[in-house]
Amino acid sequence: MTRKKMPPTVSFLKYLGLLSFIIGIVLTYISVKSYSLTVEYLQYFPSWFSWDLKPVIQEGSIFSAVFFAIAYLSSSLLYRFLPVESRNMSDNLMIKKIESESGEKYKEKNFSKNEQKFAEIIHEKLDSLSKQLDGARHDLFNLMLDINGIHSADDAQKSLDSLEKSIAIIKDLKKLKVDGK
Amino acid sequence: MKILFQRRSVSYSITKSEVTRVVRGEELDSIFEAVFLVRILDGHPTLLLEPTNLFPEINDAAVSPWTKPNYIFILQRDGDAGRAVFVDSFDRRLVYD
Repeated sequence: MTRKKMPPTVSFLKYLGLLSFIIGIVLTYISVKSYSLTVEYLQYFPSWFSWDLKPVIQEGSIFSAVFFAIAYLSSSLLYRFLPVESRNMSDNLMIKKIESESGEKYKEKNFSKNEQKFAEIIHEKLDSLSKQLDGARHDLFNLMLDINGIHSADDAQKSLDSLEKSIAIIKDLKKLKVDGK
Repeated sequence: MKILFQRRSVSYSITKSEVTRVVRGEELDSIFEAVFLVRILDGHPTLLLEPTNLFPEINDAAVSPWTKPNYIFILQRDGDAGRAVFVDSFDRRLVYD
């Protein structure tokens, strides 16, 4: 398992969301406590710091709501900016490479690369299948021309071998998966 | 039953019983343009011919330039030497007379 560096936007949104959420919780705690313990609470802060914190304590619920909203927006945007491949679609942990490109461009490039690889494999398999079937047909034709000839047994065996190889290739094609698809 | 085949832009038909075996062109070495070639096939000397040599009624003007054959039809042995003809392509579906 390798962990790749995330793009700066994703990292920024992740830390912004986390920080906003923590600040939201702290402000909620302060606003709840401030109704009853404002005086006691402020005595723990230095005078220069408590002056800045007063409006926060007084309007604590509004600020906490704002920070929770920022956290929510950050997480929503984070999910949008994450490439599809890095999302965990199964039960297993799956971390894949995230390139420093835009999401659409990355997806397009990755898709065409996979598609090209898939097409190459399919072409190779189909060429091989075509050769095997042609060989089977050729040997069977020779068998048909002279069924009691000196080569008949060999032709029949070669034709069957080619057909079995063809079946194996078709089974391989059925099993073929690219990136789990 | 007959086999339809083509050689140098001319179509032919031959009785199935005349042909004993079809060999791919690449299975035989050094095939070149000549009136006839002699090769050992299945341990027997065999004359390799253009179909025009078997069907003299074909007009030479209708025949396209020589190309290396894709297949060779080995014909029924008639005497000490066998015969075979060059084929470019053929239809594996036999045609009834």
